[in-house]
Amino acid sequence: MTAEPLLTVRDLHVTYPTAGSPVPAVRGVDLEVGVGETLGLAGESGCGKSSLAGALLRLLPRGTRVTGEVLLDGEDVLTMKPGRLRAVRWTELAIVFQGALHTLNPVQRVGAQIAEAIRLHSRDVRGAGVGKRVGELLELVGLPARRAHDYPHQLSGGQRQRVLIGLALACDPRLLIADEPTTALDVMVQAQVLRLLEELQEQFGLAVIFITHDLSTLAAVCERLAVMYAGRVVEQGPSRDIFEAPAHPYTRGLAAAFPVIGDTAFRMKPSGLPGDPPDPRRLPSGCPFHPRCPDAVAVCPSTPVELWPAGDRRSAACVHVSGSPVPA
Amino acid sequence: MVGLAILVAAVAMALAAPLLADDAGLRAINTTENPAWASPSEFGPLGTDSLGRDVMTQFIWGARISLLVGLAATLLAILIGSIVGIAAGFFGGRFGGLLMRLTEWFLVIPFLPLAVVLAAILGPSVENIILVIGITSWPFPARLIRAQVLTLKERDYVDRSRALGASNWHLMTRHILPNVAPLILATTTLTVPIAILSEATLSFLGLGDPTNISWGRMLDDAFETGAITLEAWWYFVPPGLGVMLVALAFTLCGTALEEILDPRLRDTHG
Amino acid sequence: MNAGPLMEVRGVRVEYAGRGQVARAVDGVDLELRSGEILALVGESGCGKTTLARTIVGLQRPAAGEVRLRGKPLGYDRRSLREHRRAAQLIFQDPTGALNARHTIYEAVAEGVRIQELPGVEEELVAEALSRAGLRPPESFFTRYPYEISGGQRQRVVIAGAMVLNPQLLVADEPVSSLDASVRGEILALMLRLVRETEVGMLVVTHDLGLAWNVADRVAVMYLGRIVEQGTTEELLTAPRHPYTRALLSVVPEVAEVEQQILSGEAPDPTRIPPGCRFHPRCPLYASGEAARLGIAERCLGEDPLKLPACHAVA
Repeated sequence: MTAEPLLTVRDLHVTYPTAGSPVPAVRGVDLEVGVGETLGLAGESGCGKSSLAGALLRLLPRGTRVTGEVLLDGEDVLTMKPGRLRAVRWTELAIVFQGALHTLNPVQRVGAQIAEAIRLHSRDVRGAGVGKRVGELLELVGLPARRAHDYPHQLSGGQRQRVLIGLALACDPRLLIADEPTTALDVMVQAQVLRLLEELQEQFGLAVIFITHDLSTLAAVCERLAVMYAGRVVEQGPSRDIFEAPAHPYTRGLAAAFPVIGDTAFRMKPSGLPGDPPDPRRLPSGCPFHPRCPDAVAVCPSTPVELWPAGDRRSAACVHVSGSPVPA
Repeated sequence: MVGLAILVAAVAMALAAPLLADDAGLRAINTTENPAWASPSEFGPLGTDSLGRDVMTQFIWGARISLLVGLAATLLAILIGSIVGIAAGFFGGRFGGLLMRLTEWFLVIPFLPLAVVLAAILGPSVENIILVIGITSWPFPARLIRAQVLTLKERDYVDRSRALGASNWHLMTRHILPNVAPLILATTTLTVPIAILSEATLSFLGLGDPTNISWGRMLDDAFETGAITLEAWWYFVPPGLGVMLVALAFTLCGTALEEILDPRLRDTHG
Repeated sequence: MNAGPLMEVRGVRVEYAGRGQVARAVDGVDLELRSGEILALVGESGCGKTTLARTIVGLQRPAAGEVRLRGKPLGYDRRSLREHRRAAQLIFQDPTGALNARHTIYEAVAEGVRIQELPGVEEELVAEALSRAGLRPPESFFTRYPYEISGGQRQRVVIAGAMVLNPQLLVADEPVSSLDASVRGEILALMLRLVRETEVGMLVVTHDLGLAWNVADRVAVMYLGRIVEQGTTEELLTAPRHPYTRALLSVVPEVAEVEQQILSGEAPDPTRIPPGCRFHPRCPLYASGEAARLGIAERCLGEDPLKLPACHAVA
């Protein structure tokens, strides 16, 4: 990729203050997304992916410590003045959440909610133009324009997800952050929404950061992906390569949760990782994955791991990949 | 803890009344020598009222009736309300509907006329006041409790218990009741001060027991005899404070109890 | 192992009344399960699979048809239901909701023991059940509360609570979908092991075809209250015959080589079941004209396919 990336994240840290000691949700993440590119972010509860998404748009609660750089076309989102931030939010960077009933205001018609976003963020569209734009957006996401009069509970899960996508596209952003957009949906509806996202990407040259725990979906939908664990990226590279041959033991464990139908290697052999994702307040020493790692060796609890190269445009934060000799 | 301390102090005071103050001081005929409307600096710790009766004595003895009626009437109301609420919510259907119609009937009837009628039939006495207040107060908690039971019975753990073969009684007592208990407790703490003031209202109308003194009665006596105009604060401030502190105490205790009963809340203070 | 099937469902219909219309959540289902077998009941939301699961364990009463356990039809009086509950248990989707937050783990597992008045020392039974569910040492879990343990452990507690009764049939409704992905394998492995060790028959209700491939011996696909295709896992998932099954498989992300058949819209709700073949409004065969070419288009519109696979094109 020779062109300047659209979004560059450098050494991002997100720490939540609490009554006790502060909780580090994101502990130093570097990412890059090019124009029109799709980056997948894989991880489970507690890995920090949602905190990361919130940090990119500065949507985290007040008091949260966010350090590092989030460069959108060279401009740092984290140091923008409120006026500039407002101008950038939604018009350059937009976010789509899981379409659960509580993501949309249950007592406001969906058309009104989209209209609100347009009025808040767009200077040019006013008056009757807003209603027209709402109609356009709904049709863009595959819903009839008259659905603008419906309340969220009158729509199905898939339809609500489409509304949220329409809402996010209201001001023609260049980068869409999709946080678990299809997790609660049936597989057929999920396919519909994914295809919609694909079409919109083609049509508008949208870049997408796709966040989910579903590694198999990322492998099918994204060009590159990064796997997060305990606030850090533990593996990254081309998505298909990672899914088929994970370099990091965590990725391997995660991939095993998505059996490939037709592959007899997965028949009657359910395999998962022991234990649970770690509590960010009580992270294990050294490599945070070592208590659950099937390949852990003696040095793991004491080695500060970093992303070492693991193949063509790939890297993984595991001592077995570091290249240095590892005592058994 | 503060709440508990206040309550314990109030109850102790009420129970120890005979030791703390001679009840003879309550009878006006015994106090004709006392100066009327004496301020605390002139006579006793809390001065005297229009008839020369020692306010402190009244305060101590008044605690008894106020607390007794407040607690007993509330307990009666909560007992009836809980049973009706849980039954109506859990069983639903026609039976539940019937119970709710009954509840609504009682809700709609205005408190005072009903109380007057009941008191007229039953005659004025402390027991009857408790009965009257209890009977008129149960619909409010019943509706709240039923509403919560309706959501609780849809929870998965109720289903799981049913799948294990549990009887309705088991479901109501082991699963519904413990989870509706915080609401019951909260409603109780809300109802106690209302009961105490209801007692005062009834006493004011002559439906209460005229031979017994209570804080509510003190407030009304103070009002009646013009203590406010005379700025005899020592007459109406103590009983008012008394009611307020007892109500506060109940609320604090209620919160503390809720914490003890709900394992999830324990951690936050840990 | 007995000669006959462990559990049979014959012509079961379950209906809900809603706003003046009747919703046929389960509209005539036949199913069989043998001891030691894992059957995956697959379908999307609204297809009636959860309703069917609850009917099988007796939490729901069918409007027609019957559920049989070891040949004996399920009665709905108190005594029959209690006996049935001893033999058929349900694992819930969300273990957090399935456990009363005010009861300790011990009480959660002991509840079944007490209700069913099982013989034996209660503490031993609870300890053994927890241990078999992978919670070791069991005593360390006795006084803990659900909020103190992880999601995976909670599901193990629910499983222990069901297994303590030594049931013959286990119905698991989306047993791992609310758990973290990396934890799912362990719970599934536990379930597989329990089936192999105790010969219990297991019905797993899920929307996840990958899960079916992972642990099921047989698969039944449900659409709008009916089973549209049944068969062994290998057959059904590698060579599906019903167009709905084929479409479902084509959109599973793991299966990359097949061209995606994304069905339009969503399944209609059970109060408005289409006439004829209930799948025809969304069927790719019908929409593309293939059905007309095969000469079956009228049948798709007017005739309800009863033989499995429920498709007029496969006959």
